[in-house]
Amino acid sequence: MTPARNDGAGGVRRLKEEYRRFTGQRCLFITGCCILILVLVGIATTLGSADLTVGEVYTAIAARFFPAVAESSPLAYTIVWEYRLHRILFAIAAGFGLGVAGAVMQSVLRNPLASPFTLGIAAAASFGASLVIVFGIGPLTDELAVIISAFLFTLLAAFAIYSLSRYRGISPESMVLAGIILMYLFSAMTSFLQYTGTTEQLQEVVFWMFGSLQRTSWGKLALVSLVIVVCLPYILMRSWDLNAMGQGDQVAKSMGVNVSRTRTGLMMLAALITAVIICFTGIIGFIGLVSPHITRLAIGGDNRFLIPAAGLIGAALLLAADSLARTILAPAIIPVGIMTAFIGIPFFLYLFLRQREGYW
Amino acid sequence: MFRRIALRHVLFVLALMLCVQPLTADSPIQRMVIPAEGQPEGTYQVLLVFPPGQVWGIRETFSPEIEFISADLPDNSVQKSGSEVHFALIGDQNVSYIIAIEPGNSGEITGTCQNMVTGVTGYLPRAWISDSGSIHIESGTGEHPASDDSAQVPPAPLGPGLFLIALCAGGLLFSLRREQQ
Amino acid sequence: MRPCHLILAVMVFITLSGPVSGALPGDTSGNDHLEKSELAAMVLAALEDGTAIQNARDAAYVYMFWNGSPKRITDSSGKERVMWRPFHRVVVMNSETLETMRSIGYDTSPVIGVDKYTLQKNEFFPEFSGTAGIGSIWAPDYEKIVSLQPDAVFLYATVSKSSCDEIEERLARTSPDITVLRFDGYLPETYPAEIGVLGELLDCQEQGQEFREFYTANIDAVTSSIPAIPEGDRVRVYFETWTDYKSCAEGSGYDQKIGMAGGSNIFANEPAEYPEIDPEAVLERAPQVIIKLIGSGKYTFGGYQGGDEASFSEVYGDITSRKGWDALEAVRDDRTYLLHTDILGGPQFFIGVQYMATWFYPERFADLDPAGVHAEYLSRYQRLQNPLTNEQIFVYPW
Repeated sequence: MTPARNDGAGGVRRLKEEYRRFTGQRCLFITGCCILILVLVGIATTLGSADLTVGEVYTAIAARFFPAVAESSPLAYTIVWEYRLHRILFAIAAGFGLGVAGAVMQSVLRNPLASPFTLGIAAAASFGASLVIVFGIGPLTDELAVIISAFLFTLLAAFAIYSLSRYRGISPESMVLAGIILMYLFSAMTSFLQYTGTTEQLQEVVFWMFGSLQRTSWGKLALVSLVIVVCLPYILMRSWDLNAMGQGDQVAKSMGVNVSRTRTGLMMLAALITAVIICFTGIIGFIGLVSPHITRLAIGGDNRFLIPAAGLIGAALLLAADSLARTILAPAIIPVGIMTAFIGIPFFLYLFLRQREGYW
Repeated sequence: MFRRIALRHVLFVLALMLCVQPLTADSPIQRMVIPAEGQPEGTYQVLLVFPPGQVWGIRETFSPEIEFISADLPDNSVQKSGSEVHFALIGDQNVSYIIAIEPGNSGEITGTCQNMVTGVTGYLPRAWISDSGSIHIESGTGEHPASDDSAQVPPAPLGPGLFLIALCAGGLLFSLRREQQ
Repeated sequence: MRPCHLILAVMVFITLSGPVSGALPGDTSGNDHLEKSELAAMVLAALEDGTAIQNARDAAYVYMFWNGSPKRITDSSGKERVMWRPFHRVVVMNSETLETMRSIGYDTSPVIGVDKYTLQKNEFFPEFSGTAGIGSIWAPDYEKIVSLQPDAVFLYATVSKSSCDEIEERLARTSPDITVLRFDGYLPETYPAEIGVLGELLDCQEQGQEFREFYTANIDAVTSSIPAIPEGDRVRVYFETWTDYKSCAEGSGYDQKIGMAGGSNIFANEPAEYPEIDPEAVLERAPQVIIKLIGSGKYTFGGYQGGDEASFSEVYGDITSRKGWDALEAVRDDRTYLLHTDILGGPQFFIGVQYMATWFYPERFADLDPAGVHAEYLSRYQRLQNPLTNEQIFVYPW
C-alpha cells in the first residue's frame, strides 16, 4: 500500500481505492471458488465404478427436470440420482460446514491449530458411536442410534468445554485446555470400548471413525443443509465482532463487543454444525484445519470474507478428496477421512517449511 | 404265402421303428406326412413327434402352394403369421395338423423348433410333396445349442417313450392277429 | 388385423416392457399361477418376436419346474422371499454362500459379481477370477452392484448384520427389482437347514440333500461320541489365533468348534471374545493340546493359496520353544498342532473339527479320516479340478 501523503483528501481517496480493489479481489476469489466447485461437481458426477458415459450422466440429470426432452435409461437414472448426486452435494455441504466451523474456531480461539477436532469434539463423537455399536440401544435401528448418540455426545463435549472454561474464565486458552482434557478422556473411553467389544464391533467402530460419505441420503443432506443455512447468518453477522476480538479481548470490549457471549455463541454454533455433519459421516479431519489456512493465505484474515471463503474451499477440498477416494483404487472405496489426511499433510509440510514469521 | 400287407401295418412298423429311435434323452424330432384319411385329394396330415416332457416353440414355414387348414392343438396354442404357422407344445409330444395343396402342385414344409427350457434350437425335417403326390422327408439337421445359457434341466423321463413302444407293438400284433383270423 | 394378433401385440408389448418385479412372466390373469394357456401365449409371442424369448423361457421354466407358481422360501433372516422367475444374474457377497452353492450342485454361471475376498481366494475359486468385484460387505460398491443389474444379491443373515441390513435397505429403496437373500453359510447351528433351503431355492434339491447328508454324517461322526466323555475327562486345550497370545473364549466360533470336538478351552471363561492372555496363564493352566491357528496376519501362508512346509515347521519350532513351554504336556507329548483357517473358519469347519477330534482323542476317533473327507469334499462337491497338491498344507504335523 502506498504511504499516505500529506495530501489529506487525496491520501484518503487512494486508501479507499486500494481498499475497494482489495475487496474486489476477495469477491473475485469467492466467485472463483464457486466456479471451481461447479467444475468439480461437473467432473465428480461422471466418476464412479458404474460404466456410465458423460452423456448418460448428464442426460440422467436432465431427465429429472425436463422429462419430456431428456430420456434416460433406468439404470443411469438410478445410479446418478440414488448413489452419486446426493453424495456429491453432501460432500459440498459437509465441506462447507466444516470449513466454516474451522474458521470460526480458529478466529474465536485466536489459535491457528484449532479445528473441530482438536477440541475433543471428534473424540466425543467417536465415543458416542462406539457406545451404541458395542452396547446397542433397544428399539432404535442401529444406524439411527449411532447418529443420535454421536450427535448428542458432540454437543455434550461442546457444553463441557463451555462449562469448564466458564469456571476459569471464557478465554481462548481455557477453552483449548478444556478441549484437550476432553479429547484424552473420550479417546481413552473409546479405546476401552474397542477392547471389550467383539471383532465385528471393533471393525464397525474403526470403519465409522475413518469417516465416509457412503451412507449419505437426500434426507440427511437436507438436514445438514438446513442446519448450516440457519446458523450461517448469525455467524456472518458476528464476523465483524470476530475481527475486533482478533485484536485482543480488551480491544474488542472497548469497541462494545460482548466478548464472552459472542465467543460462547459462535463456539456453540460451530460445534452444532460439526456435530450434525460428523454424526452422519464419521470423523473427517483436516478440512476444518486446512481450509481456513489456505483461505487466509489468499485473502487475508478479515472474517467477513474468510469464513464464507473457508467454507467454499472446504467444500472444494472435500469434494475433490471424495472423488479421488472413489476412483484411485476402484472398485475399492477408500474412506474419505483417510484421503483428507493425505491431502492435509503435504499442505502442513509446506506451511512448516515456509519461511514466514508466525502462522497468522 | 405272403398275405396282403395293408398300408396300416406298414405305417405301424414305421411308427414303431421311429419310436424306438428317440428313446435317448436328446432324441431327434420326427416328422411324418400322410394323405389325410377321408379327405379330398391333396389334403395331407402332418405329424411331428418330439421328445416328451418339454416345452416347444415350433415354427413351420410353408411354400405358397400349401395352405394350412387346422391343427389338433387348442386355438390358444396356434398362431398364423404370414406364410408361417407357430405352435406352442407344452408337455405333450405330438403336433398333428392338416394342410391342403392343389393336386398337380408341389410344395415344401420346413420348420424350426426351440426347447423353451434348455434354449436349444433345431431344424425340423424338411418335407417335400411333389406334383405327383409323392412325399419325401429329409432327416433333421440336428439340434444346436442356443447362444444363451441353458437352465438346469432334469433328464427326460424314459417312461412315456417305453409306453409308446408298447402301444405300437401291441397295435401291430393286434392287427396282424386279426388278419390271421 | 385379427383380434388374436392384437392380443398378441399387447402381450408382446407387456413382455417387452421388461421383467415386472412381483409377477410371474406371462401371468396375464394376475392370479400368481401360470396356466398352460398363458404359457402358450408367451411361447407364441416369442415365436412372433424374438426379443420376447427370455420371458417365454422363464415362463416355461416356472411352468415345468415350479408347477406354474412362484417359489417362496424363508431364508436365514426369517423373511419370506419370493422368486418369480429363475435367476439369470446373481451377485454373491459372501464366499461361504458361494461355496455352498457349489456343494449343492448349482451351475454357477449366473454368478456375475463376487466380493473381493472371493477374488483373493483364486486358488479355491478359480472359475471366478474374471468375475466382477463388487467391494465387500463392509465397503460395498453400490454403483457396481446396481450397474450389473442382478436378479438376486446374497448376503449374510446374522453375521455383520448391521452392514448387511444397510445394504438390503439401500437396494430395496433404489432397486426394488433385486431379490435379496440372506444366508450365513457356515454357522454350525444353521448350516444343515440352510443347505436344504438353498437346494430348494436353486432347484438343486437332490444334490443338496446328498450334500446335507454328507455334512451331517461327518459332523455326527465326531459330535455323537462327545457326550459320552465326562466333563472332567475332557482334554484341556490352549487355542491361539493368528495373533500371538490371543486366544478365544466363549461366544467365539473357535471356542464352539473346540467344544464340538470335545475339547475344553482353558480360556473359555474370559470376558472378551478374543482375549489377550497373559503368557503365564498358559503355563498355569497346563493344556494337554495346543492348537495354533494360521492363515492370516503374520502367518499368512498355507491353505489353498499354497505355502511350503518350511514355514510351518518354522512356526512350529517357534511355538514349542517358547520359554517354559517344554514343561507343558502338550509340547512334551508332541500334541502341538498348526491348523489352517481355511478348514476351520468357513463351511469347511467340519474338516477342522474332525482333525481336532483325532488330536484330542486319538483312540476314540482312530477311524476318522479327515484328509480323506477333505479330498472328497473338494473333488465331489466343490468340483475343483486339482484337488490337494503337496503345496497346500492345512495341518502340521500331519
